[in-house]
Amino acid sequence: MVKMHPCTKPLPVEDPDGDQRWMSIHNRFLSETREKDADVIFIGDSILQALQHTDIWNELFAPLHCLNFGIHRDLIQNVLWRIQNGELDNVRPKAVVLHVGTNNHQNTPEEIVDGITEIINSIKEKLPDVYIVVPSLLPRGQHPNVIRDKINLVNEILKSRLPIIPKVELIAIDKGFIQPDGTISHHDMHDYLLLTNAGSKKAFEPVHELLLQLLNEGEPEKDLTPSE
Amino acid sequence: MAESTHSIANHRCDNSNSRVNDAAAAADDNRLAEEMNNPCVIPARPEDVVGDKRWESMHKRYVTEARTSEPEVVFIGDSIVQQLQFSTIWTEKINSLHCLNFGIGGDRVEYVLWRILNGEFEFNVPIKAVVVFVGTNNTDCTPHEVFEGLLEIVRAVKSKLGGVAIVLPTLLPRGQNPNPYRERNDHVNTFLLDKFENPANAEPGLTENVHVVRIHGGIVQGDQTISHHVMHDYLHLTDSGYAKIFEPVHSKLMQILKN
Repeated sequence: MVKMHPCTKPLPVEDPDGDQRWMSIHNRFLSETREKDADVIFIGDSILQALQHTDIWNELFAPLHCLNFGIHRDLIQNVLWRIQNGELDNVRPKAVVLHVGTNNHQNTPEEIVDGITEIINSIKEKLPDVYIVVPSLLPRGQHPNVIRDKINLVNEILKSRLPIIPKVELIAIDKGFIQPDGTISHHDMHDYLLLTNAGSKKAFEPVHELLLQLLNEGEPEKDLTPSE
Repeated sequence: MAESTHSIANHRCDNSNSRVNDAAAAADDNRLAEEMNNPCVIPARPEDVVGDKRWESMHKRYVTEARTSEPEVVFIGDSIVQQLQFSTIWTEKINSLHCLNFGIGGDRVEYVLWRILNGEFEFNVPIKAVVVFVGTNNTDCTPHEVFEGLLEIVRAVKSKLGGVAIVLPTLLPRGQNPNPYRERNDHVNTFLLDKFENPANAEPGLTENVHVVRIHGGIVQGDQTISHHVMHDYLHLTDSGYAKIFEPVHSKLMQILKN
């Protein structure tokens, strides 16, 4: 079995289906940075891409002049490659929302956090003054499972590593999805991974609140994140 | 009586006398050997690579929905079916026909086949129409293999629901620019149209009450590209994409339900 690349090595998606869709999407994002002004850029994986098709995107985020550079199935390495290959050139957003990691289920929690940190470094190289908002990773699967445990560990490590980096805001969005019986409801995640309208409201309204504060050029209030 | 060409698949499914008694054309040895190598005709489940059992969870939920709901129309297929339920055309038009949506992202022909034969089609009320839409994810299969897999699905639906109306929308093109998978899907569509619209190819027990609905036209533009306004990632439909492309499916269902 081929050893998984560490998450710190940028990798484009090889064309798995033979129709070059990933590269087409990347190129379209490059065009968007040249054609549009954005105050916020969302970049990441399936969760962010799906978010764009929920009601909350149109109601809360579109008015903030956002671009959504989420691509379904992206790994940390793919997002890293995209940032190093132009998706944050030609733009001057005030905030970048970074959300990736759930598809790196073959990596260890430490490798995942190393990868996320590497992405943060790349973003800062491109945009030294930008605020980087990092929503915690969401649980997945209807019932308790090993990937949920891994995600929990990732979030724990992020909590200890990210707060010391200036202008990086880690925000917990994963509370309230696991019900008392340990299950996730399909009313929150229709396939136990991607958010419904209801689920996306629960997870991303706090992100919206935080963005409003950052865009108004203040430091965020201390107790914005719900207490543990 | 000649045995069905899909006798291999027969043994893997729950016993269905109606299939053995199908007046299907006799298979020659070559064709049978071909079928044995065609993954699309052998019901199968995907591997749980991630370890969160999501596919199984969705399947179980659908089995329960089949048992406890009173639908008239059932949609089954891949992500394009699954995401349809979040579109305006679904909430405003299609769903008022009392529908269930059994779409699962990533599904291949053989996974849908397995689901039909393993509980998702155990209903307590008569179903008036079934919409089957799957095949684009079988990127490693030939058009003929995908086509034979879809025939196997039709047989499976008939084994569960008798003479129910079956709607087969044609497979959609994909990718921003011309690529082999557009041609592949097109070939499948040619086989489907030829099989189900050409009276010379009528096959008792297979082709009755099956309606192939053309939905793949008008997507590829004059310059041979597909716009992200229709398919946001050059595979999945935008809301306006769904409204335009699934309208013929809606019309066909209205026709069927009226009769």
